[in-house]
Amino acid sequence: MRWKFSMRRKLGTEAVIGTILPVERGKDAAVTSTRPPHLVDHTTTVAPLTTRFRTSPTLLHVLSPKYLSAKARPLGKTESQSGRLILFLVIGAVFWLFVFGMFYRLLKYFRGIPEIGALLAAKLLGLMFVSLFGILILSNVVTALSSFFLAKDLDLLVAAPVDWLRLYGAKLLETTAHSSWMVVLVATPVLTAYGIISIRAWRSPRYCPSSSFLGRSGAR
Amino acid sequence: MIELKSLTKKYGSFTAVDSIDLSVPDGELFGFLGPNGAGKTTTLRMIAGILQPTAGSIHLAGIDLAEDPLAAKSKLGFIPDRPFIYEKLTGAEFLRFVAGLYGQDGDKVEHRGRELMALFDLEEWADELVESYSHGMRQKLIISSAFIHRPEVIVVDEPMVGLDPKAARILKDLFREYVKRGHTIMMSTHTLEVAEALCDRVAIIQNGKIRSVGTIEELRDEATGGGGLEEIFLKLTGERAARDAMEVLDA
Repeated sequence: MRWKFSMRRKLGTEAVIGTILPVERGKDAAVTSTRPPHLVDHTTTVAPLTTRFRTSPTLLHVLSPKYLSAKARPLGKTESQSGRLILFLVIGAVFWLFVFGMFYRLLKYFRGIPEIGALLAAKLLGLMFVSLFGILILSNVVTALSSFFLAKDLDLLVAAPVDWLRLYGAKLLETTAHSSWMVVLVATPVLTAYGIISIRAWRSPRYCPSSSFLGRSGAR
Repeated sequence: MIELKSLTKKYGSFTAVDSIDLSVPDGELFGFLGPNGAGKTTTLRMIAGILQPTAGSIHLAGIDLAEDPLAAKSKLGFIPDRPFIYEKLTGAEFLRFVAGLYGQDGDKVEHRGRELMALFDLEEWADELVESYSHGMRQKLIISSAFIHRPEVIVVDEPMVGLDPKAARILKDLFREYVKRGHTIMMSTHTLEVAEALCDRVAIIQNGKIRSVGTIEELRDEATGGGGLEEIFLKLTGERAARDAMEVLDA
Protein backbone atom coordinates (compact mmCIF):
# COMPACT_ATOMS: atom_id res chain seq x y z
CA MET A 1 0.00 0.00 0.00
CA ARG A 2 1.45 3.36 -1.02
CA TRP A 3 1.21 6.32 1.31
CA LYS A 4 -0.21 9.66 0.22
CA PHE A 5 1.24 12.65 2.02
CA SER A 6 -0.79 15.68 2.96
CA MET A 7 0.53 19.25 2.90
CA ARG A 8 -0.32 19.71 6.57
CA ARG A 9 3.28 19.38 7.69
CA LYS A 10 3.95 22.75 6.11
CA LEU A 11 2.07 24.18 9.09
CA GLY A 12 5.25 23.73 11.07
CA THR A 13 7.24 21.14 12.98
CA GLU A 14 5.46 21.72 16.28
CA ALA A 15 2.01 21.04 14.84
CA VAL A 16 3.21 17.77 13.30
CA ILE A 17 5.06 16.68 16.44
CA GLY A 18 1.86 17.19 18.40
CA THR A 19 0.02 14.63 16.26
CA ILE A 20 2.77 12.04 16.45
CA LEU A 21 3.53 11.99 20.14
CA PRO A 22 1.33 10.36 22.75
CA VAL A 23 -0.96 12.51 24.85
CA GLU A 24 0.28 13.67 28.22
CA ARG A 25 0.61 10.86 30.74
CA GLY A 26 -1.85 12.27 33.25
CA LYS A 27 -4.52 12.81 30.60
CA ASP A 28 -3.92 9.41 29.06
CA ALA A 29 -4.24 7.69 32.45
CA ALA A 30 -7.44 9.52 33.28
CA VAL A 31 -9.07 8.23 30.12
CA THR A 32 -7.95 4.65 30.31
CA SER A 33 -8.04 3.90 34.02
CA THR A 34 -10.01 4.59 37.15
CA ARG A 35 -6.92 4.26 39.36
CA PRO A 36 -5.53 7.36 41.05
CA PRO A 37 -3.07 8.99 38.62
CA HIS A 38 -0.05 8.36 40.83
CA LEU A 39 -0.74 4.61 40.72
CA VAL A 40 -1.60 4.20 37.08
CA ASP A 41 1.81 3.73 35.56
CA HIS A 42 3.73 2.27 38.43
CA THR A 43 1.77 -0.85 39.20
CA THR A 44 3.45 -4.05 38.16
CA THR A 45 0.95 -6.55 36.78
CA VAL A 46 2.29 -9.73 35.29
CA ALA A 47 0.08 -10.90 32.45
CA PRO A 48 -0.70 -14.63 32.35
CA LEU A 49 1.11 -16.67 29.71
CA THR A 50 -1.97 -17.04 27.49
CA THR A 51 -2.51 -13.27 27.43
CA ARG A 52 1.16 -12.65 26.73
CA PHE A 53 1.08 -15.11 23.84
CA ARG A 54 -2.07 -13.53 22.45
CA THR A 55 -0.68 -9.97 22.57
CA SER A 56 2.66 -10.95 21.05
CA PRO A 57 2.87 -10.50 17.26
CA THR A 58 1.98 -13.55 15.18
CA LEU A 59 4.56 -15.88 13.69
CA LEU A 60 3.56 -14.69 10.23
CA HIS A 61 4.15 -11.08 11.22
CA VAL A 62 7.63 -11.86 12.57
CA LEU A 63 8.40 -13.63 9.29
CA SER A 64 6.78 -10.98 7.08
CA PRO A 65 10.03 -9.07 6.30
CA LYS A 66 11.48 -12.26 4.79
CA TYR A 67 8.43 -12.69 2.57
CA LEU A 68 8.34 -9.00 1.61
CA SER A 69 12.09 -9.04 0.93
CA ALA A 70 11.70 -12.06 -1.35
CA LYS A 71 8.87 -10.28 -3.15
CA ALA A 72 10.96 -7.15 -3.58
CA ARG A 73 13.83 -8.99 -5.28
CA PRO A 74 14.43 -7.13 -8.52
CA LEU A 75 13.94 -10.18 -10.78
CA GLY A 76 11.89 -9.26 -13.84
CA LYS A 77 11.47 -5.54 -13.17
CA THR A 78 13.81 -4.19 -15.83
CA GLU A 79 14.97 -5.59 -19.16
CA SER A 80 18.35 -6.79 -17.88
CA GLN A 81 16.72 -8.32 -14.82
CA SER A 82 14.16 -10.09 -17.03
CA GLY A 83 17.05 -11.46 -19.08
CA ARG A 84 18.72 -12.71 -15.92
CA LEU A 85 15.46 -14.30 -14.75
CA ILE A 86 15.01 -16.10 -18.07
CA LEU A 87 18.64 -17.30 -18.01
CA PHE A 88 18.17 -18.51 -14.44
CA LEU A 89 14.98 -20.40 -15.34
CA VAL A 90 16.56 -21.97 -18.43
CA ILE A 91 19.63 -23.15 -16.48
CA GLY A 92 17.34 -24.51 -13.74
CA ALA A 93 15.15 -26.35 -16.25
CA VAL A 94 18.19 -27.83 -18.05
CA PHE A 95 19.62 -29.00 -14.69
CA TRP A 96 16.30 -30.55 -13.67
CA LEU A 97 15.88 -32.30 -17.03
CA PHE A 98 19.46 -33.58 -16.90
CA VAL A 99 19.08 -35.04 -13.39
CA PHE A 100 15.63 -36.44 -14.18
CA GLY A 101 16.81 -38.02 -17.46
CA MET A 102 19.90 -39.53 -15.85
CA PHE A 103 17.97 -41.12 -12.99
CA TYR A 104 15.10 -42.20 -15.23
CA ARG A 105 17.46 -44.08 -17.56
CA LEU A 106 19.38 -45.56 -14.64
CA LEU A 107 16.24 -46.78 -12.87
CA LYS A 108 14.77 -48.13 -16.09
CA TYR A 109 17.98 -50.05 -16.63
CA PHE A 110 17.88 -51.38 -13.03
CA ARG A 111 14.29 -52.53 -13.46
CA GLY A 112 15.34 -54.52 -16.49
CA ILE A 113 17.96 -56.49 -14.55
CA PRO A 114 16.43 -59.79 -13.37
CA GLU A 115 16.42 -60.61 -9.63
CA ILE A 116 18.59 -57.72 -8.37
CA GLY A 117 17.11 -54.81 -10.35
CA ALA A 118 14.63 -53.66 -7.68
CA LEU A 119 17.23 -54.20 -4.97
CA LEU A 120 19.70 -51.95 -6.78
CA ALA A 121 17.03 -49.25 -7.22
CA ALA A 122 16.08 -49.47 -3.52
CA LYS A 123 19.72 -49.31 -2.43
CA LEU A 124 20.34 -46.31 -4.66
CA LEU A 125 17.29 -44.56 -3.16
CA GLY A 126 18.54 -45.37 0.34
CA LEU A 127 22.00 -44.06 -0.48
CA MET A 128 20.49 -40.88 -1.87
CA PHE A 129 18.37 -40.32 1.24
CA VAL A 130 21.38 -40.88 3.52
CA SER A 131 23.43 -38.38 1.47
CA LEU A 132 20.63 -35.79 1.50
CA PHE A 133 20.16 -36.33 5.24
CA GLY A 134 23.89 -35.67 5.81
CA ILE A 135 23.77 -32.55 3.65
CA LEU A 136 20.65 -31.34 5.49
CA ILE A 137 22.22 -31.83 8.93
CA LEU A 138 25.37 -29.93 7.95
CA SER A 139 23.41 -27.20 6.20
CA ASN A 140 20.92 -26.83 9.08
CA VAL A 141 23.66 -26.56 11.69
CA VAL A 142 25.47 -23.83 9.73
CA THR A 143 22.25 -21.94 8.92
CA ALA A 144 20.92 -22.29 12.48
CA LEU A 145 24.11 -20.78 13.88
CA SER A 146 23.74 -17.72 11.70
CA SER A 147 19.98 -17.27 12.03
CA PHE A 148 19.77 -17.92 15.79
CA PHE A 149 22.95 -16.21 16.97
CA LEU A 150 24.43 -14.00 14.26
CA ALA A 151 21.37 -12.59 12.47
CA LYS A 152 21.36 -8.81 12.23
CA ASP A 153 17.65 -8.53 13.00
CA LEU A 154 17.98 -10.20 16.41
CA ASP A 155 18.44 -6.94 18.32
CA LEU A 156 15.34 -5.45 16.70
CA LEU A 157 13.21 -8.52 17.46
CA VAL A 158 14.54 -9.14 20.96
CA ALA A 159 14.03 -5.49 21.99
CA ALA A 160 10.38 -5.73 20.85
CA PRO A 161 7.69 -7.51 22.87
CA VAL A 162 7.91 -10.74 20.89
CA ASP A 163 7.23 -13.93 22.83
CA TRP A 164 10.34 -16.15 22.91
CA LEU A 165 8.41 -19.12 21.52
CA ARG A 166 7.22 -17.08 18.52
CA LEU A 167 10.72 -15.78 17.94
CA TYR A 168 12.13 -19.31 18.17
CA GLY A 169 9.43 -20.64 15.82
CA ALA A 170 10.10 -17.90 13.27
CA LYS A 171 13.84 -18.52 13.35
CA LEU A 172 13.28 -22.29 13.09
CA LEU A 173 11.10 -21.89 10.00
CA GLU A 174 13.61 -19.47 8.50
CA THR A 175 16.45 -21.93 9.15
CA THR A 176 14.48 -24.82 7.66
CA ALA A 177 13.62 -22.86 4.53
CA HIS A 178 17.14 -21.47 4.03
CA SER A 179 18.92 -24.77 4.57
CA SER A 180 16.53 -27.04 2.71
CA TRP A 181 15.47 -25.31 -0.49
CA MET A 182 18.45 -26.54 -2.48
CA VAL A 183 17.98 -30.11 -1.32
CA VAL A 184 14.32 -29.91 -2.36
CA LEU A 185 15.38 -28.62 -5.77
CA VAL A 186 17.86 -31.47 -6.26
CA ALA A 187 15.59 -34.17 -4.83
CA THR A 188 12.52 -33.25 -6.90
CA PRO A 189 13.68 -34.61 -10.31
CA VAL A 190 15.23 -37.67 -8.67
CA LEU A 191 12.06 -38.57 -6.76
CA THR A 192 9.95 -37.80 -9.83
CA ALA A 193 11.99 -40.33 -11.82
CA TYR A 194 11.55 -42.88 -9.01
CA GLY A 195 7.81 -42.16 -8.93
CA ILE A 196 7.31 -42.65 -12.65
CA ILE A 197 9.30 -45.88 -12.71
CA SER A 198 7.47 -47.20 -9.61
CA ILE A 199 4.02 -46.38 -10.98
CA ARG A 200 4.86 -48.22 -14.18
CA ALA A 201 6.02 -51.20 -12.15
CA TRP A 202 2.81 -51.18 -10.05
CA ARG A 203 0.68 -51.11 -13.16
CA SER A 204 2.50 -54.11 -14.52
CA PRO A 205 0.34 -57.30 -14.30
CA ARG A 206 3.36 -59.18 -12.95
CA TYR A 207 3.97 -56.71 -10.08
CA CYS A 208 4.81 -58.32 -6.76
CA PRO A 209 4.08 -55.93 -3.78
CA SER A 210 6.76 -57.51 -1.61
CA SER A 211 9.44 -56.69 -4.18
CA SER A 212 9.81 -53.17 -2.85
CA PHE A 213 10.85 -54.53 0.55
CA LEU A 214 12.52 -57.83 -0.36
CA GLY A 215 14.46 -56.42 -3.24
CA ARG A 216 12.99 -58.82 -5.81
CA SER A 217 12.16 -57.45 -9.20
CA GLY A 218 8.40 -56.98 -9.44
CA ALA A 219 8.06 -56.15 -13.09
CA ARG A 220 10.04 -58.54 -15.22
CA MET B 1 10.22 5.99 34.37
CA ILE B 2 13.42 3.96 34.30
CA GLU B 3 14.79 2.41 37.47
CA LEU B 4 18.05 0.50 37.64
CA LYS B 5 18.94 -1.25 40.88
CA SER B 6 22.42 -2.72 41.41
CA LEU B 7 22.62 -3.42 37.68
CA THR B 8 25.69 -5.48 36.89
CA LYS B 9 27.03 -7.12 33.75
CA LYS B 10 30.08 -9.35 33.79
CA TYR B 11 31.87 -11.03 30.89
CA GLY B 12 33.94 -13.68 32.62
CA SER B 13 36.18 -11.82 35.03
CA PHE B 14 35.63 -8.47 33.29
CA THR B 15 32.94 -6.27 34.81
CA ALA B 16 31.43 -4.12 32.07
CA VAL B 17 28.75 -2.57 34.29
CA ASP B 18 29.36 -2.50 38.02
CA SER B 19 26.32 -2.28 40.27
CA ILE B 20 24.64 0.80 38.79
CA ASP B 21 21.78 2.46 40.67
CA LEU B 22 19.85 5.01 38.66
CA SER B 23 16.37 6.43 38.61
CA VAL B 24 15.06 8.49 35.71
CA PRO B 25 11.63 9.88 36.60
CA ASP B 26 8.77 10.66 34.23
CA GLY B 27 9.19 13.83 32.22
CA GLU B 28 12.98 13.81 32.27
CA LEU B 29 15.53 13.71 29.48
CA PHE B 30 18.50 11.95 30.98
CA GLY B 31 21.97 12.00 29.44
CA PHE B 32 24.39 9.13 29.77
CA LEU B 33 27.97 10.17 29.15
CA GLY B 34 31.27 8.43 29.41
CA PRO B 35 34.47 7.60 27.57
CA ASN B 36 34.62 4.76 25.02
CA GLY B 37 34.22 1.35 26.63
CA ALA B 38 32.80 2.82 29.85
CA GLY B 39 29.68 0.61 29.73
CA LYS B 40 27.09 2.98 28.24
CA THR B 41 25.94 0.78 25.39
CA THR B 42 25.99 -2.34 27.57
CA THR B 43 23.71 -0.59 30.07
CA LEU B 44 21.33 0.58 27.34
CA ARG B 45 21.23 -2.88 25.75
CA MET B 46 20.35 -4.38 29.12
CA ILE B 47 17.54 -1.84 29.51
CA ALA B 48 16.28 -2.78 26.03
CA GLY B 49 16.20 -6.44 27.06
CA ILE B 50 18.84 -7.48 24.53
CA LEU B 51 21.44 -8.41 27.16
CA GLN B 52 20.69 -10.34 30.32
CA PRO B 53 22.08 -8.61 33.42
CA THR B 54 24.40 -10.65 35.63
CA ALA B 55 22.74 -9.10 38.68
CA GLY B 56 20.32 -6.35 39.57
CA SER B 57 16.95 -5.29 38.24
CA ILE B 58 15.47 -2.99 35.61
CA HIS B 59 12.02 -1.40 35.89
CA LEU B 60 10.47 0.30 32.85
CA ALA B 61 7.35 2.38 33.50
CA GLY B 62 7.04 0.53 36.80
CA ILE B 63 7.26 -2.96 35.27
CA ASP B 64 10.07 -5.35 36.14
CA LEU B 65 11.80 -6.33 32.91
CA ALA B 66 12.82 -9.74 34.29
CA GLU B 67 9.35 -10.59 35.63
CA ASP B 68 7.25 -9.46 32.69
CA PRO B 69 9.55 -8.74 29.74
CA LEU B 70 6.75 -8.44 27.16
CA ALA B 71 4.82 -5.83 29.14
CA ALA B 72 8.00 -3.89 29.95
CA LYS B 73 9.26 -3.98 26.37
CA SER B 74 5.89 -2.82 25.05
CA LYS B 75 6.47 0.46 26.92
CA LEU B 76 9.89 0.97 25.37
CA GLY B 77 11.23 2.47 22.16
CA PHE B 78 14.88 1.63 21.52
CA ILE B 79 17.19 3.37 19.08
CA PRO B 80 20.49 1.43 18.92
CA ASP B 81 23.84 2.89 17.91
CA ARG B 82 24.14 0.48 14.98
CA PRO B 83 20.56 0.01 13.86
CA PHE B 84 19.39 -2.76 11.58
CA ILE B 85 16.75 -2.25 8.91
CA TYR B 86 15.66 -4.89 6.42
CA GLU B 87 17.25 -3.73 3.16
CA LYS B 88 14.52 -5.09 0.90
CA LEU B 89 11.65 -3.43 2.74
CA THR B 90 10.39 0.03 1.90
CA GLY B 91 10.41 2.70 4.63
CA ALA B 92 6.63 2.45 4.99
CA GLU B 93 6.75 -1.35 5.20
CA PHE B 94 9.43 -1.18 7.88
CA LEU B 95 7.39 1.22 10.03
CA ARG B 96 4.31 -0.98 9.58
CA PHE B 97 6.35 -4.03 10.60
CA VAL B 98 7.74 -2.38 13.75
CA ALA B 99 4.26 -1.14 14.76
CA GLY B 100 2.99 -4.70 14.26
CA LEU B 101 5.68 -6.04 16.60
CA TYR B 102 4.07 -3.87 19.28
CA GLY B 103 0.60 -5.16 18.36
CA GLN B 104 -0.45 -1.98 16.56
CA ASP B 105 -1.90 -1.63 13.09
CA GLY B 106 -4.69 0.12 11.24
CA ASP B 107 -5.39 3.66 10.15
CA LYS B 108 -3.86 5.34 13.19
CA VAL B 109 -0.52 3.64 12.63
CA GLU B 110 -0.63 4.47 8.93
CA HIS B 111 -1.35 8.10 9.77
CA ARG B 112 1.38 8.25 12.40
CA GLY B 113 3.87 6.63 10.02
CA ARG B 114 3.07 9.13 7.30
CA GLU B 115 3.45 12.04 9.73
CA LEU B 116 6.76 10.75 11.07
CA MET B 117 8.21 10.26 7.60
CA ALA B 118 6.99 13.70 6.56
CA LEU B 119 8.52 15.22 9.69
CA PHE B 120 11.94 13.88 8.72
CA ASP B 121 11.53 14.74 5.01
CA LEU B 122 11.28 11.11 4.02
CA GLU B 123 7.85 11.26 2.40
CA GLU B 124 9.24 10.91 -1.12
CA TRP B 125 11.19 7.86 0.00
CA ALA B 126 8.36 6.09 1.83
CA ASP B 127 7.85 3.55 -0.95
CA GLU B 128 11.51 3.13 -1.86
CA LEU B 129 13.55 0.18 -0.66
CA VAL B 130 15.71 0.90 2.38
CA GLU B 131 18.80 -0.28 0.45
CA SER B 132 18.62 2.99 -1.49
CA TYR B 133 18.61 5.14 1.70
CA SER B 134 21.67 7.08 2.87
CA HIS B 135 23.07 6.63 6.39
CA GLY B 136 21.26 9.70 7.66
CA MET B 137 17.97 8.61 6.11
CA ARG B 138 18.28 5.22 7.78
CA GLN B 139 18.88 6.95 11.11
CA LYS B 140 15.74 9.06 10.56
CA LEU B 141 13.75 5.93 9.74
CA ILE B 142 15.00 4.17 12.88
CA ILE B 143 14.06 7.20 15.00
CA SER B 144 10.61 7.20 13.36
CA SER B 145 10.24 3.49 14.15
CA ALA B 146 10.97 4.16 17.83
CA PHE B 147 8.06 6.61 17.96
CA ILE B 148 5.59 4.67 15.80
CA HIS B 149 4.06 2.72 18.70
CA ARG B 150 3.97 5.71 21.07
CA PRO B 151 6.22 4.28 23.81
CA GLU B 152 6.32 5.65 27.34
CA VAL B 153 10.08 5.33 27.62
CA ILE B 154 12.70 5.87 24.95
CA VAL B 155 16.26 4.64 25.21
CA VAL B 156 18.55 6.00 22.56
CA ASP B 157 22.20 5.32 21.86
CA GLU B 158 23.95 8.13 19.97
CA PRO B 159 20.88 9.76 18.40
CA MET B 160 22.57 12.49 16.37
CA VAL B 161 25.00 10.34 14.40
CA GLY B 162 24.52 10.90 10.67
CA LEU B 163 21.74 13.48 11.01
CA ASP B 164 21.85 16.75 9.07
CA PRO B 165 21.43 19.96 11.12
CA LYS B 166 17.74 20.26 10.22
CA ALA B 167 16.95 16.68 11.25
CA ALA B 168 19.03 17.14 14.42
CA ARG B 169 16.97 20.20 15.28
CA ILE B 170 13.70 18.36 14.61
CA LEU B 171 14.86 15.48 16.77
CA LYS B 172 15.71 17.85 19.62
CA ASP B 173 12.23 19.43 19.35
CA LEU B 174 10.67 15.98 19.25
CA PHE B 175 12.58 14.85 22.34
CA ARG B 176 11.75 18.05 24.28
CA GLU B 177 8.05 17.79 23.42
CA TYR B 178 8.06 14.11 24.30
CA VAL B 179 9.44 14.64 27.81
CA LYS B 180 7.19 17.68 28.26
CA ARG B 181 4.29 15.26 27.93
CA GLY B 182 5.51 13.31 30.93
CA HIS B 183 7.50 10.59 29.18
CA THR B 184 11.08 9.54 29.73
CA ILE B 185 14.16 9.55 27.52
CA MET B 186 17.53 8.09 28.39
CA MET B 187 20.14 9.11 25.88
CA SER B 188 23.75 8.14 25.49
CA THR B 189 25.88 10.58 23.55
CA HIS B 190 29.42 11.72 22.93
CA THR B 191 28.24 15.11 21.73
CA LEU B 192 28.58 17.09 24.93
CA GLU B 193 26.91 20.19 23.44
CA VAL B 194 23.81 18.12 22.75
CA ALA B 195 23.79 16.75 26.29
CA GLU B 196 24.33 20.21 27.74
CA ALA B 197 21.54 21.73 25.66
CA LEU B 198 19.00 18.95 25.95
CA CYS B 199 19.41 16.93 29.13
CA ASP B 200 17.72 17.73 32.42
CA ARG B 201 20.21 15.53 34.27
CA VAL B 202 23.37 13.78 33.25
CA ALA B 203 25.24 10.73 34.53
CA ILE B 204 28.90 10.18 33.81
CA ILE B 205 29.94 6.55 33.72
CA GLN B 206 33.50 5.32 33.80
CA ASN B 207 34.83 1.75 34.01
CA GLY B 208 31.28 0.50 34.48
CA LYS B 209 30.59 2.68 37.51
CA ILE B 210 28.56 5.85 37.78
CA ARG B 211 31.14 8.55 38.46
CA SER B 212 28.64 11.34 38.97
CA VAL B 213 24.93 12.14 38.51
CA GLY B 214 23.11 15.44 38.54
CA THR B 215 22.21 18.56 36.63
CA ILE B 216 24.96 20.36 34.74
CA GLU B 217 25.18 22.86 37.63
CA GLU B 218 25.55 20.09 40.19
CA LEU B 219 28.28 18.42 38.14
CA ARG B 220 30.01 21.78 37.74
CA ASP B 221 30.05 22.20 41.52
CA GLU B 222 31.34 18.67 41.95
CA ALA B 223 34.12 19.15 39.44
CA THR B 224 35.18 22.31 41.33
CA GLY B 225 36.33 24.79 38.82
CA GLY B 226 33.23 25.31 36.68
CA GLY B 227 33.40 25.53 32.91
CA GLY B 228 31.36 23.77 30.28
CA LEU B 229 30.34 20.12 30.21
CA GLU B 230 33.52 19.24 28.31
CA GLU B 231 35.72 20.50 31.15
CA ILE B 232 33.52 18.82 33.74
CA PHE B 233 33.60 15.58 31.74
CA LEU B 234 37.38 15.65 31.41
CA LYS B 235 37.83 16.46 35.09
CA LEU B 236 35.53 13.68 36.22
CA THR B 237 36.83 11.04 33.82
CA GLY B 238 40.49 11.99 34.16
CA GLU B 239 41.85 14.82 32.05
CA ARG B 240 45.31 13.25 32.02
CA ALA B 241 44.52 11.49 28.74
CA ALA B 242 43.92 14.80 26.96
CA ARG B 243 47.09 16.27 28.45
CA ASP B 244 49.06 13.18 27.43
CA ALA B 245 47.89 13.63 23.85
CA MET B 246 49.24 17.18 23.84
CA GLU B 247 52.56 16.00 25.24
CA VAL B 248 52.78 13.34 22.51
CA LEU B 249 52.17 15.97 19.82
CA ASP B 250 54.71 18.34 21.41
CA ALA B 251 57.37 15.65 21.71
